[in-house]
Amino acid sequence: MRTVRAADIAPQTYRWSIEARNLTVKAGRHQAVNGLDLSLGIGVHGLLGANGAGKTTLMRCLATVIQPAGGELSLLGAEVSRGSRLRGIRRDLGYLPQAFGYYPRFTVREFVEYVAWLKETPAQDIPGAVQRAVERVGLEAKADAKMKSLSGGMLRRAGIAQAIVNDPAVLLLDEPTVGLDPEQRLDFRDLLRTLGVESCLLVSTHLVEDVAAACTDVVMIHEGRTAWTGTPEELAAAGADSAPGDSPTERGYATVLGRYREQAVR
Amino acid sequence: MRWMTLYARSRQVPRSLFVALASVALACLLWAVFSDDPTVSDRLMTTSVMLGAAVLGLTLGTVDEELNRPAAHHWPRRRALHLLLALGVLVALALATRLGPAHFEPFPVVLRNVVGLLGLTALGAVVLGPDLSWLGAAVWTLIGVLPFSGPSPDVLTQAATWTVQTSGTTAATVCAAVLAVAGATAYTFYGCPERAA
Repeated sequence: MRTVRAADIAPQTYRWSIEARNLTVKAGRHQAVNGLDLSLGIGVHGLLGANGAGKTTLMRCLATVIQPAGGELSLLGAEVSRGSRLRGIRRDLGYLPQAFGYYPRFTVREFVEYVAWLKETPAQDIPGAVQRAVERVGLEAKADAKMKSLSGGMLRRAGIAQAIVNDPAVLLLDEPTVGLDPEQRLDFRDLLRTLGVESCLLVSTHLVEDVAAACTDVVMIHEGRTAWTGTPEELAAAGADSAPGDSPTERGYATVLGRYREQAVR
Repeated sequence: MRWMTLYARSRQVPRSLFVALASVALACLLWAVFSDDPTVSDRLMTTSVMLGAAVLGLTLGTVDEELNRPAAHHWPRRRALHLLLALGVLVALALATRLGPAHFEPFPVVLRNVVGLLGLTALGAVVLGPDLSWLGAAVWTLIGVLPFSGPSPDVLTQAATWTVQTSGTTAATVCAAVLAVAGATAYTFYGCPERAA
């Protein structure tokens, strides 16, 4: 049984789970994130943008894999640049990279367990937390199968399991629905809605319909800057009838992005 | 200590330990068969130590740097401990040869080479990543074991072929110490490079 710790019921002392001011991040020499402002609280936030818009670089920076080159970034009310607070932040952070390496001879359970240990989950809580994470992504039948025997979609789900094993307060998912079949995607949207009730989720994706179905907010970025923020309904409403796309959200995406590009040119 | 097992397995530590042991054992075996001298030649000893450092160097990084880097625990401390344990393994293997017919001796020279080559491997892991971490140590060892390399009065030559200089050669000792300190410091504070997928 999971006991309630003091930290679980302590009031939160910050306004935004993720707060960035004029954030710049480099990918190699290229300034992939270029003066971005972001304020995200509890909920499911969809991160949309064209290829090369800086989504993955932003995700890696928010996951504290790479350091920002400039600007301010606070996670859970603590400045990331202050090393002493970083370990505390990381305990409450979950991250699914766009592509991740894994030791092929680990079983799914061992893989998730290893990450739980990386997140400093107390030893007595680890077996339960691992089992719960594996069940939430529907991989319990494969829990003791080796990682190398998994299909692409199963690997993706193992990746999601490791990201949620520590019940993160900030969860960053980079392209989580790649490789999932239609039924799994529906299950995954349900999972997003459940997780978004009490944590801050940022989901980077190309699939506009996932955003429309499961997100409470949309953040659209273009060339490393915030191009638009709003709700999925607002995005759908913004769509011009003449814009390309097969659904209102897709038309909204095309319209908003097109409008931002025009403004940027001027 | 469940986490230690997972940590060691994910970095293929068992395989590396086995290869390091095999490398030292093979050197001793070859020497015992083909020579009457109980002290293994410094060239063979150095090559064997380099192989040991190289396979242990592979354990300095992991296939999932992207997931490991944002870990909550204090990485520098763990990295330093990892390097110290690798040093301990190599020194223990070198000392263990004294139990057999062919020995790694004299100890100061063995220790200098172990420390220097492991430091160079750690430096390689930081700059080139774990997969190519052995490159620098292999090249420098090769320079030392070339037929025309050997003890020399010239300081530059002493530094260039530090692995085969006699015990007490200041330039060689300094060279090994610099490599060790640079490698250990860089690895402890930076670790292996993370690569965007």
